[in-house]
Amino acid sequence: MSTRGPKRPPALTPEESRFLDGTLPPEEAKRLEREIAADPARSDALASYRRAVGLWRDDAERGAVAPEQIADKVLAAVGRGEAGGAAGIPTWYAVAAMLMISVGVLGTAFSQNLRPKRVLPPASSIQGTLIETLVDEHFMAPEDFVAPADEEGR
Amino acid sequence: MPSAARSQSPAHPRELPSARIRATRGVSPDRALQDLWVARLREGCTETLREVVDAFTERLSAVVSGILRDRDAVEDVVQETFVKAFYRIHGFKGTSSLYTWLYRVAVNASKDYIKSRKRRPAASLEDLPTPATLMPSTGRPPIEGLEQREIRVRVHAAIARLPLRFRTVLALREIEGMAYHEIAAVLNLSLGTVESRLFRARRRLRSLLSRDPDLGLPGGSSAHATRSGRKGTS
Repeated sequence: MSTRGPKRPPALTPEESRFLDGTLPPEEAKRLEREIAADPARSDALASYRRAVGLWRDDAERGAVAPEQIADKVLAAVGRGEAGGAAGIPTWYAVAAMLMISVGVLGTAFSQNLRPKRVLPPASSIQGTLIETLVDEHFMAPEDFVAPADEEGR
Repeated sequence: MPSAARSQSPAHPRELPSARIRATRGVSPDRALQDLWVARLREGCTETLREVVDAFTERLSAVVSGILRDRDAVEDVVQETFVKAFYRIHGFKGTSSLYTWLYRVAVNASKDYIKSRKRRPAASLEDLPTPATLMPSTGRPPIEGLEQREIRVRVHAAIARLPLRFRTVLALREIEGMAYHEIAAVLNLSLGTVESRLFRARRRLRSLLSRDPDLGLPGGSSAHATRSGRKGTS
């Protein structure tokens, strides 16, 4: 016994999206139309999509504002110079923020240049010192090695 | 609406259906008139601003209404769009038409509105969508079945769950009937991105609709099928 729920409609394909837009070439559109007609699940899904978008569009068009509702308000706002200031604010904020960031970056760079620089010994001298130390510690010549007994006998 | 010539779309296959959609909805001022308006707006002519408001308010507000849902907000955003356009007209380079530029300003104003809503303190119960806020109150047939009304609310709820970028591109295409190249100009995207975003938006919407068993509505709207170029021919 199957525990699956109702079969979900197939996902929309790019071809179907172009079909909805009417941008498929006519021959392809006719072929796809035949395929969709032969598949009830696809057909229902497309119809459902169209219906939903149709309802959405109808409501959006009904929600449209009439020009006379806002024309006077727009002209009054322009007369008061409202958007000029409001529109300019983000620009000034951005300029101020950029200036502050620039000052911070330049200040940091400048202060680092003023610090006294540590003078390191040349790499060759470091290398020489290290090699000498290693040789001295690990490669002692046999004549330099003195056994404790010999030491006592001396 | 001004008695201007209908907008002529180029004879590209992608543009033909949209031109047909627009032809069913009313006139669109041609490019020459739009350029003239731009020149006059740059001179600060408020009478021209009134003409622009008259020409574009209905269509612009329908798209904003599809994006925002809140009727009061729609009026504010559309009003703000025209005021901003008037003050920013000197920054308009004229590479696109006034029509697409106005939609760009309106889409950005809608985004700003949504951002400002998000910045508000925790939502109260009044902020939750209700049938009254989801649906405009005017123009509704006086007798509409409860079932039909409920379906509308569910459709709007599904639309509201779409990410803003998807809702915007769908509104420009499905409500305004813009061609791909116009949507690309409004949203500053490539044609390929517009096409793929439309596809992803539709796929998401269909997925959302399919989760609601009551929205498996047999028999699509024939009016819409005609308007969206169902036959795929020009």
